[in-house]
Amino acid sequence: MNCELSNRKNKFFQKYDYGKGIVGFDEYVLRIVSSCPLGCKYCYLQDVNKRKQPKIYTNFEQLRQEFKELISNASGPMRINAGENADSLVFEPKAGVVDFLDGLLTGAGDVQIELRTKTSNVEFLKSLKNKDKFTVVFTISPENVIKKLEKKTASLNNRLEAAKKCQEMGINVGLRFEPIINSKTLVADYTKTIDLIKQKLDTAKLQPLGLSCLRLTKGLMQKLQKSAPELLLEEFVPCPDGKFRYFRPIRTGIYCQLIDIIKDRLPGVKVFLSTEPEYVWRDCGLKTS
Amino acid sequence: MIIDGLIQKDIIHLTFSNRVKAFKYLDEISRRDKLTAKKILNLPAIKAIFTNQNLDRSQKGDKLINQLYALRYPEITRCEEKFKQAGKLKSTHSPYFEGSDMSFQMKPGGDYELRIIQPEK
Repeated sequence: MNCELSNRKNKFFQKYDYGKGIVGFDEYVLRIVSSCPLGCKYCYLQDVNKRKQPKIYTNFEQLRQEFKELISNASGPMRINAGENADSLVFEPKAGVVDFLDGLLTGAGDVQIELRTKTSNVEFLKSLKNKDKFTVVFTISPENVIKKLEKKTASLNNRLEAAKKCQEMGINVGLRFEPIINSKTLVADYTKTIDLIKQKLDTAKLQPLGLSCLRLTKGLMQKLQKSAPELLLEEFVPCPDGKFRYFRPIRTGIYCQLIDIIKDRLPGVKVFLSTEPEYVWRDCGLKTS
Repeated sequence: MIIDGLIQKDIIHLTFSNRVKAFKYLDEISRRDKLTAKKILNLPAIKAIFTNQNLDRSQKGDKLINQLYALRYPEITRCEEKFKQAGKLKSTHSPYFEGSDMSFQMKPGGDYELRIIQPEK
């Protein structure tokens, strides 16, 4: 994947802004890349990124300083998401970011870095020294969604194979069903996907599984009118954080159905909702704490 | 085009903004349900509006917009209707039911929250 190298002028670490009324997890976001080349059609980056060529910020010494300050001020466990504004593994190992983060984690205390990906690019992770301090989170969609909307990403099978490799390497693995896109075949598609997860992975070792329905900014909705207008034919409503989501009973219905399937087929795997208000957690019988 | 025809024939009256809405709803329903605009406007509930002798042109226009909205947003419309029936509380829920306030506004017999917890299948 092509990219430019650059220095980051703003801070690398920022407290995650979940949005008004959204249940948060007290995470920090690490911004080390300017945008993502995978170009998934529904991604919010389509709305915020004007530049096509991603930039990797290589002023690693500033990053080291910020990290030191952050952990010296931390009063408890720290969670850092390194995959918020780009796929965490798409430029690796060439970019050297993960390797650098690995170095930072040595002796850093209770810190977990989340590497979020839709790739199968995990081979290089076997050389990590602090495997227990990384969680590789694979964003999972049914294969038909991947083919239609995530064309530059790894297939479902390859993602799950990569997740398996991570588990074999002793790295924590998490899964996110995000974004869940409503369709008439949703239950069948996710049942098939969940069965594949069960078949490929050691589900006892999986981190809690996150669910999140499609959410759109107003700007992204305008972009989708051209690129994927079929996504907009659902019943979207504005939510307290300003994003548009499926009407509450629709997404609650989706979550409840998926939770039932997960409970049935992946017993023991905990489920949480990502970027939803507390009242939706309650609708789904989930507790936020 | 069909909407314009109905307006020209003096069957309905639509304000400019309602005309925009009508086109939008028709287009979206048409793409979602794979129906032509003509077929949608020939649905019994909509045809009944055009032939209703008790409504003037503006009332027919308003009813048409409401009916097209109900077709475009069936779940939202269903919840709004249930909410109106459940208690005598109009417009007291959060916009689009995004929020918790409504849980405390229901009167005995109103089971809206229960329906949300157990969505209809």
